[in-house]
Amino acid sequence: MRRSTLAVFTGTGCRACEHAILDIHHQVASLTPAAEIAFWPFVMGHQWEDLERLSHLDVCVIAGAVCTEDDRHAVETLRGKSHIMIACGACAAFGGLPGLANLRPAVEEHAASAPKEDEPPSLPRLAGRVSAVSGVVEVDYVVPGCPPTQGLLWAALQTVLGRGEATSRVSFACGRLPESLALALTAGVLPRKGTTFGGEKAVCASCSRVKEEKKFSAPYRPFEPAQDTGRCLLEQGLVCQGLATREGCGGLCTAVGAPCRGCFGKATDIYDAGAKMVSAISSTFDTTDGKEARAIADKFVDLAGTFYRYTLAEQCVLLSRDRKE
Amino acid sequence: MQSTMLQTLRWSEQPTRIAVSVSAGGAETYLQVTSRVDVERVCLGRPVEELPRITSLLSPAHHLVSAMALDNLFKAAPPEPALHIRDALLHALFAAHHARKLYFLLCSRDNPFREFRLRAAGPRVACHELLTETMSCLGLAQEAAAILGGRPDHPLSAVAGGVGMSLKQVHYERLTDIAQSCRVLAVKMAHDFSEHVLNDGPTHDGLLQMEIRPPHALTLAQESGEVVVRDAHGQDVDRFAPERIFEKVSLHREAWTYEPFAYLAETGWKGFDAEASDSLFFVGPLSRVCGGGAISTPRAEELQGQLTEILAASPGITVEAAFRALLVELVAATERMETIYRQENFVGPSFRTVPSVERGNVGIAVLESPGGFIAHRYHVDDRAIVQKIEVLDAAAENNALCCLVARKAVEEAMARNLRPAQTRSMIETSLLPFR
Amino acid sequence: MNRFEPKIVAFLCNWCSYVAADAAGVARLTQRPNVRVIRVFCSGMVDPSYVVKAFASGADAVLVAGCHPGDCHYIAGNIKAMRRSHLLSKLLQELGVEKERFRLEWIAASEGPRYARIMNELIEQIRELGPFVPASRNAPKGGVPSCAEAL
Repeated sequence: MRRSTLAVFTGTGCRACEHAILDIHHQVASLTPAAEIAFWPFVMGHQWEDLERLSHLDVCVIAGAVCTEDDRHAVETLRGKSHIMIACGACAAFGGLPGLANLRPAVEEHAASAPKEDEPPSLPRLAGRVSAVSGVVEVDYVVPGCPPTQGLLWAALQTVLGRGEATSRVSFACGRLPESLALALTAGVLPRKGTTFGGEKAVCASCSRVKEEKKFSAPYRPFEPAQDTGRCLLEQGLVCQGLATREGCGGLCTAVGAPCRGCFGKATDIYDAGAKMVSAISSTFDTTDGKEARAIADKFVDLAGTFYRYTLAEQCVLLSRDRKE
Repeated sequence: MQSTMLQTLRWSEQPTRIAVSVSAGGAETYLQVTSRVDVERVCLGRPVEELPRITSLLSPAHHLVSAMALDNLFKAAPPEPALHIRDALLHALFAAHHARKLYFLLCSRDNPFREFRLRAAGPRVACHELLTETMSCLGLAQEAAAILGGRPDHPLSAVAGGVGMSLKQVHYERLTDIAQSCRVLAVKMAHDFSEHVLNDGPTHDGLLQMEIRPPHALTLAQESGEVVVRDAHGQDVDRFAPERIFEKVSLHREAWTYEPFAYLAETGWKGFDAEASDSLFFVGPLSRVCGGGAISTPRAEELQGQLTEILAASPGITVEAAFRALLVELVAATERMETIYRQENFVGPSFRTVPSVERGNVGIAVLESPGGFIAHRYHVDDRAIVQKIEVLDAAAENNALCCLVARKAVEEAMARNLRPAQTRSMIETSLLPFR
Repeated sequence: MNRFEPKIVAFLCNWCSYVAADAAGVARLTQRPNVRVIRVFCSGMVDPSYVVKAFASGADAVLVAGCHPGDCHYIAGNIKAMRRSHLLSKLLQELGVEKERFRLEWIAASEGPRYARIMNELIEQIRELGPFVPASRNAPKGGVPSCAEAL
């Protein structure tokens, strides 16, 4: 079988996603029979010329957000050459943490001028707005997470690089995937385009905490009095994004007492994560009085920065979509 | 005028390129960071307790320093077990960071996915074995960091006043195993690297000995808790309390890079052009190891002694010394891991001090992270929303040094008439231990 | 120059507010034609995402109207709507939707004139405020030009 050519690239962001690929213990080396690394600047030191020379790439794993014109150019070039593009990590998929910058007024643009004689070289122009890769080009698959969990990343790489041939080794990740996707993987078929390597339900479905349907009269912030261990964080009055977030991580954060912040993006069938959270949180207000309800609502801070922590650039309906006229 | 652009440097945390313009007057080298997450813009307006998770996008150690700044802001001293868990995480991060750099050094001549071949290295050293050791050490340290931090790479366990979780029985045993194996691997790596790789290594001839006139070294003295600035001869230039770090250090911006340059505010920005500039400083393993005194574990102390001897021979800093410093610290970190990864350190009645109600409006903390000294300061309003944030990052602190190194490497390469690919490879390897 | 005609989406409860709107029409009260009425069974079923979607689809203001507290056909649906409205209004403001653009009102079946008055007031208020432009549109040029344009 011909080996698939693979490219790995990060726009603006951190290197955690690339580390995640590199750190799939030693297994990443076992991809060698299936894949040939054609372009991976961070680890292999490939240059842009190397990419230009390639006419075709089978798989491109892309991470990071799009913040500069260079990022955009890179993403468009890679998309043009790649048969399959995987958005890896929250930044590439939804804008991630860098996307939060969109809540603040844009910084002044760097004036783009042609470099003159004896003048320092210029920098790529900054975009006024941070976008996700999926907001610039169409991506085929999404591996969410910040950074992506190893099981799902591994399942995605194995499936796509092996063109659906590597079945036995992905089975461990299938337990977390929706049935249709898991069946496709084990049957050796490439999943439908646009598939997200994550669950269908919300994080709450895999969170180990106990839910009791309790109401609260004031929200807590994590620095305020200690929590009961083992109880649902939201019911204790902590803002936890679990019920609006796609499952697949296994409740990593809630397991260590940290509320979910939605790095897997919104769950299937949720229109807007912020609206969902508003609905869920306010239903737990222990009051029927308008003034009291207002007082409780006023205690919440930074709703936009919390509900769209990782998804502001792409999944916040009011800030990311073009308004229909 | 002729200009060359070396795109996308390997192993750099931010997208970086080198622009060289050659004219009659000589070569000008620019180390350009072409994109950078605007952390300030991301953090402003956020509730302050969220910052440890957000700032970890700079590097995992920022998670810890951010939690320490929160301790300071909320005036909550973490209980003993929480301090141990944080410390344990920090050492795991050290080991992982340094092992990764060394792994990259080994890969510098080849592809990490193929069997590694070492050029002319010692008497039949199986470099493949060394690579496997490095990978195992990295993998183990990562595993420890994931256990202690809750998630690999972007930890989330540290919260204001302590940590948000306790460890489980399985973790204690696993951590003890990890620490032991890591220490064994690190000691072996230190030996193999210094015998076979750094002596007549795989990198370009003369690269490791390339000498840079050093700026000052800035470290956090472990004993006194003061920030110390030393000159190239090891003499103290300045000592001050960590709270004054943002008065003492300022950031300078240039139009040709998105990464700012940190410099000593009292001396003022003089440009990094003059190599003798006394306004510049660097941080990181080499800066710490040269500082001396901080390392108290037996094997690492021995290695540090050897390094000091090597350093005494030349006044400048060399790339080789920087790699050796990584080895010293790797061994030190794993030895520390072995001492602190014990169940009795991680258990206790509480893991978190609930912050008192009367909090200040400013939180500040400093930390020696794997990459170098880092500092955070937050100004919050009465609802604990971030109004102003100052972050001193190792990348900005070492930016000037990296520019000097890149310049020097380009000069070397031009003197030896190297091809652009070789030049690039040389720059990459020489920048690797610093950024 | 054309006068700006705001688009208002009104979610009206089947049992009270919709009847009021009907009554306002039957009584031939003067009403501006800027309102798109959506009849819902209860103000309590207007999920925040409906409101967000209305804004995203081009509404300049959204009104949710239900029965007076205590009159709900489903016992407490309007209380649910009220609880949500505060937090929703806060979120919308953070996302750049001015406070005036989202309103929750109690309009009983018999309050036809009140319905007409509230609507006309809202329309005038929004007309003064101008069209709703999502914050992203205020960013310079809406992002980086594609590389083709840049070259």
